[in-house]
Amino acid sequence: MKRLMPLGWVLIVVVGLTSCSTLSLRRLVTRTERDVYTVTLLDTTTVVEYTNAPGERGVLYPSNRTYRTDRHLNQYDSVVERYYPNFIRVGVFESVGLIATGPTDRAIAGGIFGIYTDPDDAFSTEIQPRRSLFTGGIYRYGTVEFPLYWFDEPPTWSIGFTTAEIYQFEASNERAVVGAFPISIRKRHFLRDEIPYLSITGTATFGFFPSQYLHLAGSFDAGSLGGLNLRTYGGIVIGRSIEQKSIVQPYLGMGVSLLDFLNHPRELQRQWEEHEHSSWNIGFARLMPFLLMTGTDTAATSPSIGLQLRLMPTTIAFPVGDHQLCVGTELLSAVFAFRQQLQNGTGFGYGILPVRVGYWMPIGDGWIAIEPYGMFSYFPHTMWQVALRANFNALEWLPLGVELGYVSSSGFTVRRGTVADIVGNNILAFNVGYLGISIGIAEEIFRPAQLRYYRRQH
Amino acid sequence: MGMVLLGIIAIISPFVVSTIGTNDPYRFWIGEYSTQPVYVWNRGTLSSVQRDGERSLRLHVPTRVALAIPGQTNFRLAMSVLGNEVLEGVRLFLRTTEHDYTITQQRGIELRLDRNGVQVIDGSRVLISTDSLRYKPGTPIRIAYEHDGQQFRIAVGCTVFGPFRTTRPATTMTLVEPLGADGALLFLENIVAEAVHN
Repeated sequence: MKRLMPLGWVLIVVVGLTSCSTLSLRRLVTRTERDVYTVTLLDTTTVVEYTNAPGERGVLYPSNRTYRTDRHLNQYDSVVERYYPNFIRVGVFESVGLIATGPTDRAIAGGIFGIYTDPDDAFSTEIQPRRSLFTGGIYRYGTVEFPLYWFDEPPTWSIGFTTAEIYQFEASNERAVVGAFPISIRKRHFLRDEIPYLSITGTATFGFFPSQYLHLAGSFDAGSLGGLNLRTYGGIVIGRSIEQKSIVQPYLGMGVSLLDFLNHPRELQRQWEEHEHSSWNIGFARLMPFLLMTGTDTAATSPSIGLQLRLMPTTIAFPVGDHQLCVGTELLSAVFAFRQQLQNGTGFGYGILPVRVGYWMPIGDGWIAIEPYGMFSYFPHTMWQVALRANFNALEWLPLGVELGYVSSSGFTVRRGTVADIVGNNILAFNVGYLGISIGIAEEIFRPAQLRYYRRQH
Repeated sequence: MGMVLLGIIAIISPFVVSTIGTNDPYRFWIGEYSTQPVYVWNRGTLSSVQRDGERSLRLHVPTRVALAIPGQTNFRLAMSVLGNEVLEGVRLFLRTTEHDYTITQQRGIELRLDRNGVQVIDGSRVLISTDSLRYKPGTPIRIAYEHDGQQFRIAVGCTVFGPFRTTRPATTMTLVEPLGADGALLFLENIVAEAVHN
């Protein structure tokens, strides 16, 4: 843990410098084109005024006239600003499960995507060795790629950095490589030019601190679709571990990433407002405090409450029918149901990459949407949820929701680790009906007109 | 000491990467040390437009460049046009923008100088059509134009056309497109600009 402290300081320094500098995040991800038009209006008005004297004056009497000509020149500028994406890829989180990177009895056992860790090890920095085929994992946080204009071709080359990445080859820091802001150069060959993109990517990564390493990899990538990507990797890491031990480690793995957006080179020439979307909603988090309607402690004298946290939720429009059938997932869905304390247990459940199926019914132009859905979580324990939610696109990036639902969670036991420290060792099953109000954090709800399916139809 | 140095490299690496990544080699300035620099936006391949000296460009067909005078819509711009045997001529689109030309097909005012003569077209109106001035390979010819509100004037060689009046708004951009087959080469030399009103 102490060895990771410098990494934390480096992150704090860079984030501070970035936010203080002109190199703002907006400029990093958005390119602004500005066209100025000068409109000139030229107008000439002539007024003829007759000022004849009254009375009979005869035929030859002169008549007075005044001609007044006004020439108006009105010139003004009309400025149009258009906003384009400035990046090839922006990703918040990526996790890769690795096989055969160490003895199978010293595995971190993160499963196929490296993310299905045992509840004893979940959210913990100390992972106990286990027996598993999936011996290691790669974890990347905050990846950005910019176009690299080489070889006189569309920018299928990219240069980028990752805020932090961890290569954990087995459950030991001696076999862990950690990088803060490693630099990557990638070359993509698109096998499919339409969303969702399919591509083969070659990557070379150079890490300097706290581990020094070279990472060479090839991957087959599918995505992004609603910020979701699937990748299969083959690569090698050459360098020094966090414990400064030499490492030469080839690997094979499969990964998933969320909130990870990939732009085809041609999309760099398409304005943000014209970009095609595949999801009904996507966001960083959704927080829902709720009131328990059923399953409460009968002896309780005050209302029973609960809380649900969804991390990186996305709801992808299913490409059949009217596209209102939707499937979704999130990195983590955690439910706390207070007043559910029974003997040694607490009402708590969480799921990694649960599957959500629903029907998205936009009302009007999509500012409000009704969404009945069912969610099933299969890891680390069984949890399911059915609900009817009304989404309100109230504030930009901060949508609100009202939800009536029912959640059922099977119990499980944890022996140690973060979950045990916070919730307890013996987590019992619970079944509750609830009424909740949710708020999305950095979440966007898309209107039908923004979905690519509807754009093609109209 | 080594770790400190590596830590510093890690800290500066995102700034270096983002500077490289947001740098667009398709856009550059010419005459940047003059009173009125001209912004060049290459709309062809990277090698199709080359800077040739402080105020000159070399264009390989097929390509197009947008020349812009940022902040100035009423301006005079002059340049010398010189081409090789393969080049058929050059087209200039005035009072339009790259976005309008590409997306909304608004071509503005077209000035065409080719082996058949000179034409100035404003939408469907032919303002000038003459065959007494023609593009001759290897012979430089001066093109100058001035935008002043609704009026504009064009000079090709020693002949001045206009002033014409148009309702099209003046823009900061001029699009230049060489005409001809592969191998055609157009030199735009001594590109100078100045604002009409300061």
